[in-house]
Amino acid sequence: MWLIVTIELVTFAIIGGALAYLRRDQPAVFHAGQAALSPIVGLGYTLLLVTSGWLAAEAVAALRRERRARARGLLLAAIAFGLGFVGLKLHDGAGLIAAGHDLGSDDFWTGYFFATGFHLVHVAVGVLLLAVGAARTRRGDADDAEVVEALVLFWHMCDVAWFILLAVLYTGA
Amino acid sequence: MRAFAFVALLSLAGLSLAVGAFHLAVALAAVKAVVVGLVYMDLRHAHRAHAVGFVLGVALLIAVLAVVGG
Repeated sequence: MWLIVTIELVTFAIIGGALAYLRRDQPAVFHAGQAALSPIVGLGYTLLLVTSGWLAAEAVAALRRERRARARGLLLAAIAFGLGFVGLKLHDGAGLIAAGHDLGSDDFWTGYFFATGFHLVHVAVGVLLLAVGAARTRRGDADDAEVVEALVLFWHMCDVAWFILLAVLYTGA
Repeated sequence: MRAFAFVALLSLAGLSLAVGAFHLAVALAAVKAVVVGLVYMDLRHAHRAHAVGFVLGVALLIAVLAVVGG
């Protein structure tokens, strides 16, 4: 899983670098696009993801202590916050599209929708992996903690990737 | 430790958005990534080389972002 996480983070770093370059190369376009973004919504995304990541980390710690029911509950709560992120992203995205912004509007919106859409796909996959982890806590196998830890690792990668996007896209919004 | 990390991550994100300075936001993103790596990904208990590699990787990434972003 570490190899996957490393590859994904390098990919998000390249996307972040491209957005940062756009920010410097076309400041007027970038800042005009940012004017449509709400820092409060950006903080809302962060709250949902970071809370979910914390709950998932607590779930791994509980599973290591063989507290399976608690671990399962924490993972289900982490999934709920992850789904909250997906819901907010879809609602926010629909609002931006309704306001006339889309992939082809200009370079900012192409970058915004590509980067956040790519991240959203990873969050959706991460939610599925957390669900697999929650199911795994019922099995009682000896390697459950290791398996769930690996799955949760992917979820934390989504956190780190979001920090990059938050800094590049929302700073100055 | 994990609860403290949670509060720290939210506080840093809030500070980053409130200040609105790109280079500070990028630096704070690096700090948040390291906190997640060491506390949530449990790298503080991993082999030292892995933890150092993660921190150096984040530092390199943030340096590149700061330079490219101008």
